Amino acid sequence: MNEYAKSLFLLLLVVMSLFLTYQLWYGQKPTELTVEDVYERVVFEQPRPLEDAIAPSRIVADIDDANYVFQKGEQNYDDLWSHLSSLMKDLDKAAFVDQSSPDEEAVNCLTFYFQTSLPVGGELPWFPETVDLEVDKVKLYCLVESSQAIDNEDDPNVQEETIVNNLDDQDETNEPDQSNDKELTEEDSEEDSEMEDSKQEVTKWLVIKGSDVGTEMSVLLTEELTGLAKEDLEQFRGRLQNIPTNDLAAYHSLTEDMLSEQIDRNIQLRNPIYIPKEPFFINHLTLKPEKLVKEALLKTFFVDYNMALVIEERDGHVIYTDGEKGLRLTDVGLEYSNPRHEEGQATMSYHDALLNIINLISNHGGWPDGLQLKNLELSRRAGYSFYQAEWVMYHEGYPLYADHKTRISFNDLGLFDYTRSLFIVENDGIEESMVEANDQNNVEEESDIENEEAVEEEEGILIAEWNEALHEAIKLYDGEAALDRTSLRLESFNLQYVVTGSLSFPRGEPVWSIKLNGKEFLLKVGSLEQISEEDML
Amino acid sequence: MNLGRAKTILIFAFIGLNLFLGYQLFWPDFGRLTQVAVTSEELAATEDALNENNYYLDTSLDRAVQTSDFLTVSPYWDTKEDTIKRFEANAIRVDETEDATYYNLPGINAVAHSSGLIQIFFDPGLSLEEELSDLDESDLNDLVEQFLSDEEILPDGALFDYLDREDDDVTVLYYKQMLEDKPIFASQLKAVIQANHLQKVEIYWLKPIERIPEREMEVIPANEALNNLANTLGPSTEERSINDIRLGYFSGEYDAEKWEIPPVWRIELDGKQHHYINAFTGNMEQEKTVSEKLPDEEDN
Repeated sequence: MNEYAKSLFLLLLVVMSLFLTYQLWYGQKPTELTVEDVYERVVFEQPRPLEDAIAPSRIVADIDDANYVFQKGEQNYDDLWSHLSSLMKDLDKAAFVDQSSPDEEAVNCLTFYFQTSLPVGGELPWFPETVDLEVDKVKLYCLVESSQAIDNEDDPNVQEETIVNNLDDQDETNEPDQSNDKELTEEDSEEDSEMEDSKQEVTKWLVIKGSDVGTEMSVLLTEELTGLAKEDLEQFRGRLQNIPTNDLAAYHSLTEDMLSEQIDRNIQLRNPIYIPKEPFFINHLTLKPEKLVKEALLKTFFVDYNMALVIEERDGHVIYTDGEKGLRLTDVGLEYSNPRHEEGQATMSYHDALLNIINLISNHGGWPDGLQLKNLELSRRAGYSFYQAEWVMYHEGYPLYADHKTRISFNDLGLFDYTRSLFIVENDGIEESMVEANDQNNVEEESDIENEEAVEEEEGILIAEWNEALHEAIKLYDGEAALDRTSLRLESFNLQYVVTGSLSFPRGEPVWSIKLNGKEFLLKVGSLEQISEEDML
Repeated sequence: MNLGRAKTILIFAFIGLNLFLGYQLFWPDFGRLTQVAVTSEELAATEDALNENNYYLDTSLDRAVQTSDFLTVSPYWDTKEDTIKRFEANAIRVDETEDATYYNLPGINAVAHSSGLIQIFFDPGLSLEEELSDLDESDLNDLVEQFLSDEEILPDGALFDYLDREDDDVTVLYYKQMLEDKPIFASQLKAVIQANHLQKVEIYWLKPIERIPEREMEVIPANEALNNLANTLGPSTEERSINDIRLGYFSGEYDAEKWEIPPVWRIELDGKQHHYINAFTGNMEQEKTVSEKLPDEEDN
């Protein structure tokens, strides 16, 4: 063969071998390999332990004739719940052997309300080895004692003088208001001031109310009965008795008498309702929608998300579906459904359902700080049963509601419905507005109106009086057609935030949420202008 | 050493190396050429299972290993707009709702759905020929196709799919869209003939945007699709014939900007009923139904 041709052929072979080696090393994988072993278990975060997943919906403290309401996101809330949780973990069945109801003179000084019932007993962390119970309320009763009184416990006259509050009866609607029954004469007051140094409010009894009517357990918090170390009990009592209230808004419990004084209508109260004693300022919040990692999210819903079809809607939202289940990703969250799983039953226990939802939300998007489990209920629809759980975001003690709820529905077959729309607080509106105002000062003169607005933002919005808000809500209720006007039932009355604004600038609008006969009205806290669901993001 | 001999040795060495590398690189594809997805035993087992459920295979199966990908599509707005323009120019009355626009023309009621579906109702029907029932399938198709082409209703690339005589009086002709060698079953033109008159035409045409080769995968074999169909439908009370099974693309109808559609096995029962089995997941795809009501009927 011609040497020149040989050389060329050899060169060609060398180049080809290099090319093939490159292809083999870095080239595209054959078809089979792209579909093999694609299942990858993705977990957004490790599921929380039960004790971190369930917490009181609110804690109400009765201090010096005023109520203080603590909700998630406040330091006091976290501390109080942490202390109570620790105590409940340490109390076993021995503490309940000799159940002791609170003395008549004791006052309900602290109440923990659980909208999501707290499971206790058995193998659970709280009250281990006691009877299984789902707790709706934990009350602490205090007795004011002085050293003199303690020294003269046998003398009923001395003890009577030291009692500050009467026993709260257990009617929920009037619960904390009974503390106003204090009837001290001036003489008594003088005596009190003299005895101030030696007077001490002691947490005495822990009363646990189950979700079943009449289910109640109580324990006298003494070293002997509880088996707890003196230091632990002292520490617990110390924390409960030293709640800093200087910067906190005082609340009072709404009663039907108070309502009848302010509103010319017969209104029934459904639940304990606490309203601020005095108006205060509250700020807007600057928010941003939660950003979820799309690829990771897809992997949590689809065994092989390569099989999922992508549908781009005209509004830019994207749907992924494998023909059985669908995941819709929007600008403000996600919606997932698996209709085939709807036709099932939920036979698991409440405790197992709780563990299940912890896993579900942790796996599918995670459980960010500030998010609280609002409720978990067993529901029925069209002959099928399922559990439904709902979460709410909290910021500094106030819930933050978006238009779409963060909610999970599941049964024994698994998850079949999930919506998630969470907003994260970037900073309080006050900071933002102050920065903006300063910047503008440097570049141009602001009009008087703008200055006023800036000042208003800086100070926050002064909330309207509760009676004005209620008047407005009743007016709106009366304006709605086809609503029952024969009787009014006030079901809830809260301060909260709702997400409004635009996608590029979502913000938390502080509102009064007033629920009358099942119909909720959202009113801006200052102007009492109604906010409809269409205004929300 | 002789340089020429050294070159020869190197040439043989590199030929050997390249053969080895080529084998490593392309063997799966070589293998696929000779590999069958459905063995004779599997085919026989499938036939037995079908027969037990009263389904009988009257067609041959493609037994080779096949791959497919997803296809991204959008509604064929050009087709829709061309048709609508003609309606708008001649409309006596136009009604709009959130989901559809209704055109009333002399002898025609047309509905343009936001999803891209167009329905044309001829009132009274159009006479194509004196006696259509005497025509065979091919002649009837030629006649209808000619009419649709003349009226500029037939989209480009439409291909006659099948004919269904629902009863003695009603005949429906179906036209499909082709993408290279594969049909897009989701696109369809449907012409309804009743009492020798063309009564209705429905057009739902899709615009293929792209195929997604990165997601090319091996599809389930045809016998598995048949097994899944029998499992999903359950035993039949009467004998049913499986006339055809072929690979194409299909999805439900979406009111969306664009979407991906999966490959499916379309299985024809008794020459008129079609079922679609997702060729990746093996699940049966659901067909969507479209309201045939006109605005006046909806008001009533």
